[in-house]
Amino acid sequence: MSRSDLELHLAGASRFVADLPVPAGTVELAILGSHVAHGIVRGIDLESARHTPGFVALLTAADIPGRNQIGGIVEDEHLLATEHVHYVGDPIAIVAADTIDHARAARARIVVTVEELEPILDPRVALSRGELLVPSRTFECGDVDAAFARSRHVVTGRVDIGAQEHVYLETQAALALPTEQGGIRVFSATQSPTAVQRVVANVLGIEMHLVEVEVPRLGGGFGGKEDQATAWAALAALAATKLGRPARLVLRRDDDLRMTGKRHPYSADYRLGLDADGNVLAYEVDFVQDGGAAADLSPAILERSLFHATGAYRVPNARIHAQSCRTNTPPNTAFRGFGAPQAFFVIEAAMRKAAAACGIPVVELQRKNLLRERDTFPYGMRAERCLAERTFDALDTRFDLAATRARIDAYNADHRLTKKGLAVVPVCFGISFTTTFLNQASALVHVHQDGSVSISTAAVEMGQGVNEKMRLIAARTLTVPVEHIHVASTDTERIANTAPTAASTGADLNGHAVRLACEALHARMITFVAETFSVPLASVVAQDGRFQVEGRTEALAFADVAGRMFRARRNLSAHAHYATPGIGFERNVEKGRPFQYHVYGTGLVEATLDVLRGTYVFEALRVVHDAGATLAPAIDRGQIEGAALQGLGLVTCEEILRDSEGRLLSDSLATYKVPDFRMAPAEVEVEFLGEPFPDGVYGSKAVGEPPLIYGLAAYFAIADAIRAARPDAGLEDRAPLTPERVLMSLT
Amino acid sequence: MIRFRLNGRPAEVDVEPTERLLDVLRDRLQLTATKESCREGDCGACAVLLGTPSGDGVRHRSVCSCLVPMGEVEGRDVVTVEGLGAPANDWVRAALRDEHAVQCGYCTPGLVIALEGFLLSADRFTREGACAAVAGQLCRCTGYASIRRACARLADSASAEMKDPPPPDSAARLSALESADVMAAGVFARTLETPAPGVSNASGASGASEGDSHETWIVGGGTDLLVANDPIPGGTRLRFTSRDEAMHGIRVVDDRVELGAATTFEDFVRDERLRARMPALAAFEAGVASPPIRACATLAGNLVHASPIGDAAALLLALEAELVVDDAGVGRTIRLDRFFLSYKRTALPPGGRIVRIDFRLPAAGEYVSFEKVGKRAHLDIASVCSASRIRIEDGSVVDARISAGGVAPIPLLLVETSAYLVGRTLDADVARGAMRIAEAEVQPIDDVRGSATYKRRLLGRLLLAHLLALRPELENELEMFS
Repeated sequence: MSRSDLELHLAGASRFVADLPVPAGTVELAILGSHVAHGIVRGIDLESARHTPGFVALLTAADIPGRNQIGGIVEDEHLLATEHVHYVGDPIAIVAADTIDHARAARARIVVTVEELEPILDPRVALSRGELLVPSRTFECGDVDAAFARSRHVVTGRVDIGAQEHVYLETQAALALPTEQGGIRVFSATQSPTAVQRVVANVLGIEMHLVEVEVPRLGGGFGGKEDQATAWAALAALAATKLGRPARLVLRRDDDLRMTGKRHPYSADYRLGLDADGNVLAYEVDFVQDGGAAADLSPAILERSLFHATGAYRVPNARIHAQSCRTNTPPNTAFRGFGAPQAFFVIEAAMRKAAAACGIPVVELQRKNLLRERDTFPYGMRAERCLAERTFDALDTRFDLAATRARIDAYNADHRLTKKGLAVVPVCFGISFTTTFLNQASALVHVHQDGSVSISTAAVEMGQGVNEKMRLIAARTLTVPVEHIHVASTDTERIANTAPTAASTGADLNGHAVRLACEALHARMITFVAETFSVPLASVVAQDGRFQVEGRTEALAFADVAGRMFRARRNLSAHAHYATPGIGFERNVEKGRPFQYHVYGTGLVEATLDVLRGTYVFEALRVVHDAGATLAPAIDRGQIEGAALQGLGLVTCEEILRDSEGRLLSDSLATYKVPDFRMAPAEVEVEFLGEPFPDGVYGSKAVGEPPLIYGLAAYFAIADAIRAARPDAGLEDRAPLTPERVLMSLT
Repeated sequence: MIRFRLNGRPAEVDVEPTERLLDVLRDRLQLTATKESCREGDCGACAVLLGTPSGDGVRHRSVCSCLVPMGEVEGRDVVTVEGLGAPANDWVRAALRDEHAVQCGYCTPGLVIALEGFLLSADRFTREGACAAVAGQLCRCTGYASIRRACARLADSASAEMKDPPPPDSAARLSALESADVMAAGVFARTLETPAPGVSNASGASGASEGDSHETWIVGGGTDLLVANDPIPGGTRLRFTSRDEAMHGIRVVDDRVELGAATTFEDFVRDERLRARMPALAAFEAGVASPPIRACATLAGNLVHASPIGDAAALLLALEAELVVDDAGVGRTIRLDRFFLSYKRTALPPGGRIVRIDFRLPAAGEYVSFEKVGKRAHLDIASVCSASRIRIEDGSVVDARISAGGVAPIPLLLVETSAYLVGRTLDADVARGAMRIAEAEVQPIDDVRGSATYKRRLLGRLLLAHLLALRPELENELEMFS
């Protein structure tokens, strides 16, 4: 019997990296980061640290036996600074001690002399100085200039959206154990075991086969552990190798907040042209992405902003320009949505301005311009099985947008100190890694001789329920009860060459691989039973963990068949590989079919503004979402509700603040506020559209990221209420819309 | 050596009293179900149940183990998720499971603890009560909707299957919970049979021995003591007000209120005598901290900490509180409005301690109001907080005390604003005049909680909120809301 992750969590029996028992002699690490945002390290004075209690060692870049390079897409990021430091927190040295408190105390006594250089903290300044992380990119379709020329209404604007911290409740963590032949075993809280393996091998100057990376599970990832778990694992591996003893690095929250990247702030200028009836004719947008000090995943995130620039709308003529700027903050990184939320935010702001200009209600303008079947995206792909209108209309049918608007208007006419607001946001989200080669996964499935089944895949469990989905897929394919299926940890020795668990693709890619492996095993078992009883294959029916042979009264138990096969020397293990078919993208022309499919949905948020205090509450979040034929409705519902609240936090209370020297001010959970229980909408309703997707695993669709976009409706609902309070409020489109910004716009 | 009872069994650990309970559980005792996340009481992931003797029984409260020094644990009961027994026989876990209120699992143990605490201590098994019990638990995965559904399910089944209200007496309640199969109450029942090992009422200092050169710190709840990430200097002696019987209790004699220095925020906001006379305590409760912090933090501690944004300071300034201070064995009284000298500096004599906080309840015609705005409506530090006590007779103000936090280096009594209001009738002109004076009377700074301009403007609005509470018609007289 294998228990689900859920049961383990409830029993307090699930283990995260920091919960693993550590061998005697393990050193604890703290990382010394730069105290200035930009400069040249001139000296490190260790003297007073050396004599602090428990101090073991200090390691710097000079101790790296291999390459001091961790950049994934672009090789532009050191593991430890050699000379230049590029942001506050940029790792300079590893401090090892017997306890973490001792390591931190020793760290506090190290004096680093840095010659300070001027930091760049504003991406627009970086842009003006040509500080780009990668060359800028442009997507274009139609004849944009001609379309603007014939537009009846043209609106322009600037939109800004701030950074967002992941606040995975489990901070970054790694435990490294030296092994034979100079190898290393790393337990890492990462979404990308293979990236960790590759970087550790590079840093240590050994081949990948001497590095084993195991991930028990994550206490939340949200993209923050896709690329940025790697450095901590490599630092722990380096310390363990150099010191010849196990080394553990668990970031305390303050270090985690200061030293890791966030969701990218974007600043954008747009122009939207419409005809007299409010049909969108042309859209032009220029995204300025704040990439931080190194490329990290910024180029891929920028690309997803390009793909999602037009939101869920039909835009026949578009020119989308995007640039990733280098600033002196920690490299910004993946965060659920991966550049799409920023792009959606811009076009949704533009649509609202356009509605005002055209004199058409926002929802009417939105509905009129929704994507339809066979519409072409600016990147050349067509919308297939398009559900934009269906989800929008289903939301309208279910919750009656006109009646809701009328109720809100009536309330607002009656109240001066509080005002209600409503906003709808339609979503169309492309599924697949836009870096095509990452769209692959494999699974290793063993049927043990007692009939129990174990599965390994590339997928990392981080709360998204991928382990449970793998169990359900295996149980369904093998026709055995789910409690006989055990999902093992993610380990590069069992599954090599893994793609990150990211881009919402974990259950799709790994689920297909599990299905393929289980189908192979199941076919072998059917064949074996048929051979055993000398009957045709069609005479064997598998059901509920039993094999029924036509004409025999007694069925054979799954375990019985497994035992017989083992004794008959049959192969009870299967490895399968899956690669998403039919996708590809030509970056030289910026056209192609980057996505296997799109996920559609429409969300609504209702807010009440306290006009006196500038605060707000959320009455309702209502969603109609296309999850295909969901494998696990409870899991998918949880993904939708959770993602939407993260999106809501992004545009309301979550505010990353730095001082003029680039030091993080919101450096604790006391100053960086994520939504709490009371901030969540009082009513949350999620309805599935439920149309099976033929190419999905048993008809299912990905669910992780798309619903985050619904949360953006919170911003527009507050803005709607602000306009009800003060039609002349000079509200610029800038998120997060904190109570401070609300009050300042009201007074 | 610290002795206590852990999950129903005697425990003994050789640690400094300044060490965190969380670190002892995880690092010394390998009980890793309790999670570390923020290490400063903001997330609730490290919640455990701390049992303290109360009347004939033991009161189990959910507390943040990252903020509890081991000295506070001596002679007490601690229950972690490991001590709760199999999840199969437990309604809390059943509700969380059935509603799928678990994703990554990192916040789950804290959530379980908070809800077990609800079953053990709630007056009634209401949905709102269950929600209130978990309101301090941060979850980054679920969006809370499933947690809310789990709370509803738990409250509904508990109130349907058990006597509701449940018996207030701990022994009777535990046996009711046990016999209805709501939870494996054995681990809690043991706490009633015999006192926990260790000195349960040690009022003296613990740590290094008396007479050495180490400092003694008086700990009133301690929720600000361990917030700093780095450990307390070795050898520091801690003296816990919670250990001192004389410091406990809220006495109400006629209109006088005497709060013992060990009075926690939870004791304060739960006191029916105070709530009846000061409905503003509901707003105070909603705006101040989370349940596990309110269970430990004391009002006296909040005052001594002297943070310019201390919520208790703002309220007590408006209430004209006086502090009874023990100055080397001599009792003295210090008016609260003379207590705060400069940023985090108070008139508390060296070595002195607050023994009691005295104030009077609002008289007839006198209204108390509390306002607070932060980036997040709950579980946040104020950008600005403000309290007022205003008495109106025949339509005009005869007495006013208005305070504000977050607008000066100290919690501030707005003397000029208060004086301006006296003798005036609350109309739109007076409201605007008061706002103008208040905005001029303060010196806020730009910081992570807002710009100085914002804080000024916000203070004006909060002042207006006080006045609107007294005279709602003002709403229609002020053109600012048209």
